[in-house]
Amino acid sequence: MVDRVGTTGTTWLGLTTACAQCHTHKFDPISHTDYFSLMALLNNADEPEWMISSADRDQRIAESKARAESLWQQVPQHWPAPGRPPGDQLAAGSSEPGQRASSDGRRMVSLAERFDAWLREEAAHAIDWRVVVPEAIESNLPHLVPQSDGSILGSGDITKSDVYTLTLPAAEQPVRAIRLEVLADASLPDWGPGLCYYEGRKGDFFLSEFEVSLPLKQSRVEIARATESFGGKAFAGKQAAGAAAAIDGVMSSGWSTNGRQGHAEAAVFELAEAIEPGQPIVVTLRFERHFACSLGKFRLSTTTASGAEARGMSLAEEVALLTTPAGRSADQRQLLFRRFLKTAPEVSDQIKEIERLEAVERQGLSTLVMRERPADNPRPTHRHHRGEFLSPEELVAPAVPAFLPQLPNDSAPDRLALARWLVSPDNPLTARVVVNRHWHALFGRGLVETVADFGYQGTPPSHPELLDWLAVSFMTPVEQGGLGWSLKALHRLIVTSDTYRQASELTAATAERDPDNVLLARGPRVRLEAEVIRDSLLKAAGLLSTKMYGPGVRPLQPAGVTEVAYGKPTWQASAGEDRHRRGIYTFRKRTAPFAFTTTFDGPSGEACIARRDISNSPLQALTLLNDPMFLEIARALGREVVAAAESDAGRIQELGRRLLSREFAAAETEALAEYLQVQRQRLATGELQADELMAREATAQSVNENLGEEAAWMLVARAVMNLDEAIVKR
Amino acid sequence: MSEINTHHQHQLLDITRRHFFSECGVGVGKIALAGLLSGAFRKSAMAKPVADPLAVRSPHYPAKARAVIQLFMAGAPSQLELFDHKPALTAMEGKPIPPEVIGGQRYAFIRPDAAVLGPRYKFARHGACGAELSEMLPQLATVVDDIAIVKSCKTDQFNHAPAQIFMNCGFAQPGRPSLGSWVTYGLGSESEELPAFVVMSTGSGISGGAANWSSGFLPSVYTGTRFRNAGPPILNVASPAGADARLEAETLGLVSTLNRQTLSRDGDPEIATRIAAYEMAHRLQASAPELMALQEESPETLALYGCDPAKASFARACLIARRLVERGVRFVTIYHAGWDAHSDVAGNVKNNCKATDQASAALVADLKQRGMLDETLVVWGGEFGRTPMVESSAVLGRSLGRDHHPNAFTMWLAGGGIKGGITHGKTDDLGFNIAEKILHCLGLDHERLTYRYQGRDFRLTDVHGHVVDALLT
Repeated sequence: MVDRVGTTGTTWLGLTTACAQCHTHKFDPISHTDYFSLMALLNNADEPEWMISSADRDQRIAESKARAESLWQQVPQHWPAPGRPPGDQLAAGSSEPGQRASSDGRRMVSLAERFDAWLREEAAHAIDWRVVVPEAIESNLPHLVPQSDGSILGSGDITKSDVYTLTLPAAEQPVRAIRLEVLADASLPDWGPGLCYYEGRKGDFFLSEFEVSLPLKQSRVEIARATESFGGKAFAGKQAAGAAAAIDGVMSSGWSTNGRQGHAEAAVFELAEAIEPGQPIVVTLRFERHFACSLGKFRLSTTTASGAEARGMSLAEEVALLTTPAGRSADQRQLLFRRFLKTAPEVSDQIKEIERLEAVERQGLSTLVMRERPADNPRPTHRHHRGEFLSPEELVAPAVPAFLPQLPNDSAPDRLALARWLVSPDNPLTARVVVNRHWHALFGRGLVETVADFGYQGTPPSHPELLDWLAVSFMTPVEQGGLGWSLKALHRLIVTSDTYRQASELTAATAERDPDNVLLARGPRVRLEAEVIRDSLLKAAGLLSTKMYGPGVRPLQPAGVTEVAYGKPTWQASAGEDRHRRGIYTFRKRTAPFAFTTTFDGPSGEACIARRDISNSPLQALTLLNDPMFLEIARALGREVVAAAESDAGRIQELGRRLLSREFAAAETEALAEYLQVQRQRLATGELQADELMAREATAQSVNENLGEEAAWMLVARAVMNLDEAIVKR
Repeated sequence: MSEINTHHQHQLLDITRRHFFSECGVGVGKIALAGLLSGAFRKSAMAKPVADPLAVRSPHYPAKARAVIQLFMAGAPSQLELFDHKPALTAMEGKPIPPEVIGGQRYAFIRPDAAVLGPRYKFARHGACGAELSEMLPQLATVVDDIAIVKSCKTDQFNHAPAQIFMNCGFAQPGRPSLGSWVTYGLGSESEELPAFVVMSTGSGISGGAANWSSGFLPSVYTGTRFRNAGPPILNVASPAGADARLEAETLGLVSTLNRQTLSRDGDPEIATRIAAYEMAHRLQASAPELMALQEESPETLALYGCDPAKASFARACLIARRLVERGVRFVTIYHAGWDAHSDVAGNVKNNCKATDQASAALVADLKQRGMLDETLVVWGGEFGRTPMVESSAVLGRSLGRDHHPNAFTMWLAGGGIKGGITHGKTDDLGFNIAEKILHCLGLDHERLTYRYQGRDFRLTDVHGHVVDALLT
């Protein structure tokens, strides 16, 4: 949050809001309370993963559901027909129609018999569970809300040690066992049943202890036995995490259904002695782990029956089983039949396919979003003494800094209001900061040099009227002749200006009067940013992929860069066009950043850097000369220029156009041609090996005249890629 | 704003540019070039077209140390098996620790009422100073009069990644500059060819990762440069397969020729800097193999460290560290991960001491015999300590281990500015700030080493800390 308040100030307001975390800003009119009020605007959000919906996905889900339903209809046909009675062997292979009919008949009879036996067995064990809706629900922090089906849904913040205290109303009959159903829900991470989203497995929960007590008697109720329909593995995967681990008095062991995300399971806790009717029962659920792992959706029920065990039946299935065969509705019959089929090994292949299809709904591309919290569970924001997280003082209301125009009264003070306020026509600051940042990107220096600080400590604008004119044009809608907040239009406006198109050469006069080009008497001359260097060289070599969207990719980088990161991950460079996507798609490994970007001043992404410094180091030279990624580009470029022109002169100019956007002057051409001749000669005599330079296996196939020529041009291309001009905008 | 800050961020840049152009004029770039090609690039103000971010800068006051070698024992070694002898624990072994001892402290895995575990190893007094060390540190015992043991270290964090980042950057979340970056920012580099701040890692991976040697909001040029364990240590220092020395010389010659033509046309002093950078890269390519020629060391030295030059190891990294410091590198960190003894603390300590004890002691002895210890600060330690209580859990398959303990751990320091042969602090003492001590030995005032970011002057030690004089010479 602290980071977000600072970043919001830097990015949108050009204000050093972060400065007021510990005390009122020393220079700008931002009070300590202003800082936390701005935080309150940003703080009231949950950050769930959001399944990205698309017509494709909707269609895939609908098709899967339809296919699953049709497979359900076909399952009985896959039931194996039992063999014939022994005396019937001789008739095998007969094509008499009666024989085939009897095969189908035997199949149906066998299926019906098995189903009946299953029904009798399960009905005999069916338990009359009564769903109990707690009359009081308390927790240390998670937000627990009762649902219409008697379940309770959790949301909001969770901690590494959560306690749910549920007071059940007095029962009318003795209670001999309590059942805890853990349920799936689309609102939970990976559909639940747990709220775990970080460090542990998504959607998991870890019930350390399940306790029952009687407040009237002020006594704990002993639990004799715990059973579960499914028990996962505990963290580190060594010990089974069954329900018995939730009644052993040890917090580091517990019950989890990890591996069954998106499915309902249950645990049954059988009490040592029945609880007599007429008194409230308190059930306490404790979740404790080195990661937050509380339960997201659950339902409690009790029974007076003895010997109850968890069997993985849903509430509806238990009810159907308890109904007399004659009294069961068609839906109940189908429910039980399908339940039976799921347990039958004879059709497990078909069931597996159905379950795969049913899971499609829970799969897809997701993204992290911020979602405003429900009105009944806002996250309070306090002012913190000296900015210390552990020293909260008074509550603060969400607001923008008091010295600026305020949020409108007619809407709730939330992130949407803040976003609208930022781009409101009454607020010129955002547009100024944005156009200045883009001016900086194009000229290497902002009109306000301190792009992140428009306050008293920042530098005053060199051209205040120009900055204002640009900001106002940027904000003005297109239909009124402005740019309508279009960055592309802003870029076009700037790069087609006379100022930008000036030559960048430094003359004695400009060097004397304006060495840093503050007054813009010449065009900009700045080194490109890391990502742009890579993109533009890829483009020159004809390798750049302009493919959009999707997960990050791994360009080539030297071996050993990631060996230091936790777990020593390997960096397997992407194949095909993914290897040459634009820099923005490069996978970011936090513990071992992409080496090339760091070498060329790319920040780590851990702090908001509005203005990168530009260094000029030997490591950069080594990277452009020897990094496998740039050697690959040089090889491609070598091949390209050989194919593009016939003459040496033509090829040299092709390189100039591709890498420097100009043709070489005579003196330059001469130096390049001389270098070319020497290398060509050395390749011909075998002093230099073309297949090694071109990274080809030395096979008969690769011995061709062109390879030597391509290698010679690869070397020329590599040299030109290392010219100052190749990585400088001028 | 401190002198260095002002000096670094604005004025010097402006002054030198103006100076360059007013004194030399455009087109006289060749004069500058002549200077930098003769190797005087760093030292001559005349030849310096723009402020070099790595130029040597004066400390705030005369420094005791010139360089730092940080031996970072990642995973958190058990102080109770190495330095902090607590025989009382043996008497209490198996009994729950009294609640008043630990107060409300929380631990990563164990409960506050876990049983006490006595020290697993024997301790004895060593050297003229009589410091107590465990039998697992026989080699360190031989240099104990040269080191200062600090038993009262304490941290805010009890999980590895945040605690490592806290130890290096003074803040538990990534994004602040690391100690090595601050030092390089404050003092610059004395090596023209080698990176100023080098990072090596010889154990398993580091959970805090690159944030531990990040330049944070400082310019990226101050980021620690990672040395690889296999192949040439510096990325891309080797020429491509198929290229020979003549080709490389001719290529750099061509690049230089063309860049000079550009310089005389465009007049941008950055071009001169780029030409110099390519010259330095060329020299670096020549000096890197020389740096790594460990076989040139005497057999006695190799034996002292226990180093096999052909094999990546902590010993090899320590020897490389000495060679780096010899060549003017400012800050070297060697990570050795693997001290996280949640189970079998005795075995863990034994294995890790086998890998590190000899070389750590050898580094101190070697620096001393070469007369380098006075100006090199060696710092040994992890990110926190380990509990006096046992960690055992059938669920997690752990026994006879120790959990994370932020309230007490031991570090040792040796060399420039540090009094040898003393033991500082008892484990119930309050905090101690290692970072500001390191800065102090380097002649930097932790309150004056600042950088302006997001509107305020940040410093490594934030608003905390004072220097413990007892440790200083």
